[in-house]
Amino acid sequence: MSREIIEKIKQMKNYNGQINPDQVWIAKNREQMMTQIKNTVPEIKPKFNFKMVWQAIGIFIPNKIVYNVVRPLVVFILVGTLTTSGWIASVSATQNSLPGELGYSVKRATEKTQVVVASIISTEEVEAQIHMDLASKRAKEIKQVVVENKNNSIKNAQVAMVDLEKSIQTAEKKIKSVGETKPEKVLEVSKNVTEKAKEIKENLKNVEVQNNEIDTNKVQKITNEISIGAVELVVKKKEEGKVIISEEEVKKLVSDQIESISSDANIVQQKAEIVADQIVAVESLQTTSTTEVATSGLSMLENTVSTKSLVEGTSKTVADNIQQTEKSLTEAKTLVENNHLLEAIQKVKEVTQVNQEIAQAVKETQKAVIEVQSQINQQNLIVNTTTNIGSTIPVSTTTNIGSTTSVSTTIKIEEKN
Amino acid sequence: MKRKINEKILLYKIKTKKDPEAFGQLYDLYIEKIYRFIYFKVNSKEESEDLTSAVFLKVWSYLIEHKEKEVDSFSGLVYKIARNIVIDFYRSKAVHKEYPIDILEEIGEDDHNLYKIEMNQEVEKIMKDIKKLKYEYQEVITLKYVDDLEVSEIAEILDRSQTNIRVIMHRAIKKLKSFQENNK
Repeated sequence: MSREIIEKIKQMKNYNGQINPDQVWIAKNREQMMTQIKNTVPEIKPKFNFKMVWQAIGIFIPNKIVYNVVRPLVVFILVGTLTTSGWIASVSATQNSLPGELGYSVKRATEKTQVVVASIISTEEVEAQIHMDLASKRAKEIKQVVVENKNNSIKNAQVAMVDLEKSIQTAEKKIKSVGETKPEKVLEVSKNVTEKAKEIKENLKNVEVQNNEIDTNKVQKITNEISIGAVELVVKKKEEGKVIISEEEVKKLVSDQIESISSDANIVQQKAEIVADQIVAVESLQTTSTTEVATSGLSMLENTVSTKSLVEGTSKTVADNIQQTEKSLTEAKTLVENNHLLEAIQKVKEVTQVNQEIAQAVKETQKAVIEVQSQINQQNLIVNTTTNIGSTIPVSTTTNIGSTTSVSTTIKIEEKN
Repeated sequence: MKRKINEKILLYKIKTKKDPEAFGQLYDLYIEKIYRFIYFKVNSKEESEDLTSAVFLKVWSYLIEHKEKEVDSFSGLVYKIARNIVIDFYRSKAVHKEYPIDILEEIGEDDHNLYKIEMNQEVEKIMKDIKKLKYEYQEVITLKYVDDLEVSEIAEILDRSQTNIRVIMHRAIKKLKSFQENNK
């Protein structure tokens, strides 16, 4: 019965008549209504705003969920993504920055955070590795700063140099600590340290050639020390039986150190030769200057005397030390062959020390030579200027007048033609 | 579900882009239903047409002027506005003491204008019986079976719970059944 009634009610709408609207009226009313509502719509299309997004989502999800759940969630994700990506982008953008640049402080701050985090969550061998990585980065920066040679390049290189020293010193402490607490990890740490030390030395190799005002001797010294120290630790721990490493492998580690210091000695020798050439050049300049300007020769002669005495002294030291270095390295190689590794390392240490002294002496000599050279150049400049004032100016003026006239005449002839 | 999503897309277009064409489509979907809904209440073709036009214009204004207000369903909005317009219509007639035949004959009176149309006897009878029902019963019955709205939509239009609407529907059908039995 109920179904029949419901069916009858449903049929009501199918009958034509007043219960249903007239189709003509529907169309006419639509037309009128559309005209009316179109008048209320501004011609300018509304601009996009985020509310449209929520409304669009609301088509598929109930509005309550959209506004109470989806919107806060999306906003949270967006803010999170933007913040994180912005931070990551900023930090990654600063990774190539150099000392003295705007992003460098951000780069250093990131690295310091990395160090702090590592000190909390990482082991000491990882920390040592991080500090060596940072030292290697600094060496690259020093190289780049010197190559680019922008303003304050010396100061900026020195900033990186100080940080490099600190990193190496910290890494050294960590390595010692690893040797005491986890001797089994010494070999792994040592390999990493020697590799990074090699990188650092490679990057600093030509820095002084590019800019002789930068002194890399101290950094070279501590880099050598940490590298040799790490190998010495491996040898000691091997002898104590705490590190498992073959005879050949450990010999190779020591031999690598000998090779490395031998290479350093060669570089120092080359530098010494360059300085010797510079000395010869300065001596010849001094002779010329003295004959040209007899009146101002007193100070020049003083310089000549002091340079000569310094050079003679240094040359002797350098020659003696180079000889000693070569001898010590040969002895070290023999010791390695005879399996006296600790003694060999001791020799390497001695050679490193001597090499450092030679490098320092060469550096000082070079500085003195450069100073004298600049003074001579200055004197020569004064002499040349005085000579030019007396002779060149009237001649060149006459020449210019003649040439200008002839050019203007030529132009006039061309115009007439 | 498909109808609801379509309506929501059209609503979105109206609210964000003030798209008259989208409103035109909603008009096409609801014009007959709203006309019938009003006609059941006012029993006059002319007045039903006027009020139906007014309903759609008011709906458009509401959507454009109250963009910040959420509209869960177009049907809920359009029927609520239609209902309010009918109420206003009655009030206005009462103030001017124009007691329309339709209102006076609200329940239990024959409306010859309504039944001038051709329809079979059975449907004619059921319409008469619906007219005899209480006002709220009439609303629920027509919304549910003539306009095919869901219980949730009717509940929203009439501001009642869905359970309440189901109870009213059940009672209305029961009442109609008793009328039918009495007619026999």
